[in-house]
Amino acid sequence: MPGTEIIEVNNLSYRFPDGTLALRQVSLVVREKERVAIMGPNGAGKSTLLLLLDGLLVGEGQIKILGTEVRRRNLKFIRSKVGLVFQNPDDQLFMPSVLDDVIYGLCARKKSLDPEAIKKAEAILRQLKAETLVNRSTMSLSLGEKKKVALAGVLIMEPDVLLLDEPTSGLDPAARRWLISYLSGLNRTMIFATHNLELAGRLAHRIILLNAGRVVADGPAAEILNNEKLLLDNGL
Amino acid sequence: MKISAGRASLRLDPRTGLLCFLAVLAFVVALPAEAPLWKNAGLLFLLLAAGLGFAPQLRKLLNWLKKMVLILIPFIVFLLVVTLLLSKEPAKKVFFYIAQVGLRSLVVVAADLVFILSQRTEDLLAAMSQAKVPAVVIQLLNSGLRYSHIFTREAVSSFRAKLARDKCRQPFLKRLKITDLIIEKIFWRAIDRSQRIYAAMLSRGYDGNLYFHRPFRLRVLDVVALTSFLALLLALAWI
Repeated sequence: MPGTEIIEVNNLSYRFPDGTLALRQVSLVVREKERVAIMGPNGAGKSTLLLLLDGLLVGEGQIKILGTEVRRRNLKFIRSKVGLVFQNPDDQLFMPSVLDDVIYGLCARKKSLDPEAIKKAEAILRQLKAETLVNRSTMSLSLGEKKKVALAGVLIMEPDVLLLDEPTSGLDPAARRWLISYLSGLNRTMIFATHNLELAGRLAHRIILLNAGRVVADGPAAEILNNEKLLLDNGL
Repeated sequence: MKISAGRASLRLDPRTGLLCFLAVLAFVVALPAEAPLWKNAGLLFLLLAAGLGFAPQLRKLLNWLKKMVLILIPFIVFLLVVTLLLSKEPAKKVFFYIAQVGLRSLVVVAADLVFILSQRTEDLLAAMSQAKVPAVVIQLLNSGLRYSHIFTREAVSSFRAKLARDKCRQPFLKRLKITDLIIEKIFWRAIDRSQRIYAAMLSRGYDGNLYFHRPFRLRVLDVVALTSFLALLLALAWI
């Protein structure tokens, strides 16, 4: 596994506004091109961790992305390096047409409608086998199509780190298989939150097991997935 | 890959549609209160005729118009009763003014159906962006449409879930209470949802602007439709 540290998290804690502690003293390191699955039962803190990594929530402790600390003043840089695909694509697609939604991130970065963005959007949609959706409204897509468009909208920004929240949830088996094989072909650092053991087994190099906001295990995917007791004890 | 504005061959360019709609609004507002009724009736007739030519789903539009008329009728009746009771004008004049209000409302509704609702939402927003409508207006419309779409779906699924669990007809007050609870739940979901949508926007570098790519080209049909429609409006106002 290549060695450069891309993400470094030290003693990260996060408390929801109602006082519930979502993450407790989480520390982890993710290296370049590593694919890490964050697993755990519902309410373990998986999605919260991803939101913190993208600077969308502010917790206690330290997060560094490519050596830069996630702080308010660095958010523009952080978000240009980290792409987050949300669990529910309805939360993510906010432009009325597929093309406008896919190119949004690039246009926002350049603060103008970039003709290059359209070419890139076409290429990415083609890779995702979604080229026929280009003129469609984002409100009239199926869940699988929405997931593809949401992923395209993040991939077009060429983030160094791809964060995915439950990428296969709600997909039918064929779409799930296709997405797993597509993601495994992406040569980039990837962190994904999932309950899906198949996804973790096929995609992750490493698994971090969270329960009640704490890291209970962190190791190679095969090792963790073969520890049935550990999985059962942690709601998987 | 062909990127198009997704227009049916006879559908107006959304910018033409917007201009026509604004022209109708200006006509309705600027026409003196004493103007003869046939002017608005003529415009209404013209709009419905235009709908036949440019709005591909006219039957759908007419159904909408019927629904809007059903909403307008109680409003007009209310206006009529209140005006008759409170106004010192003779009844004939009151009827005339109420007919003016009713006809003008119908004209606006018909213009909305023909020029605005017959367009695709994404085309309209893109056209507004190209027409340099302030970004905040476009964002409000875009968010409003997105939220209304999402919450309509949530409301439908919540009420379906309620129906699926209703074994027998509940007393009226209990039904009212359950409906209230569902609306409250949807309201809280709306807040939660809006926070997540905003977070997703921020994560993709949202900077307060929306960017639209729609290769609109004004065709001869659009120019002819716009100029002839404006000429007809001017003629109606002039006569």
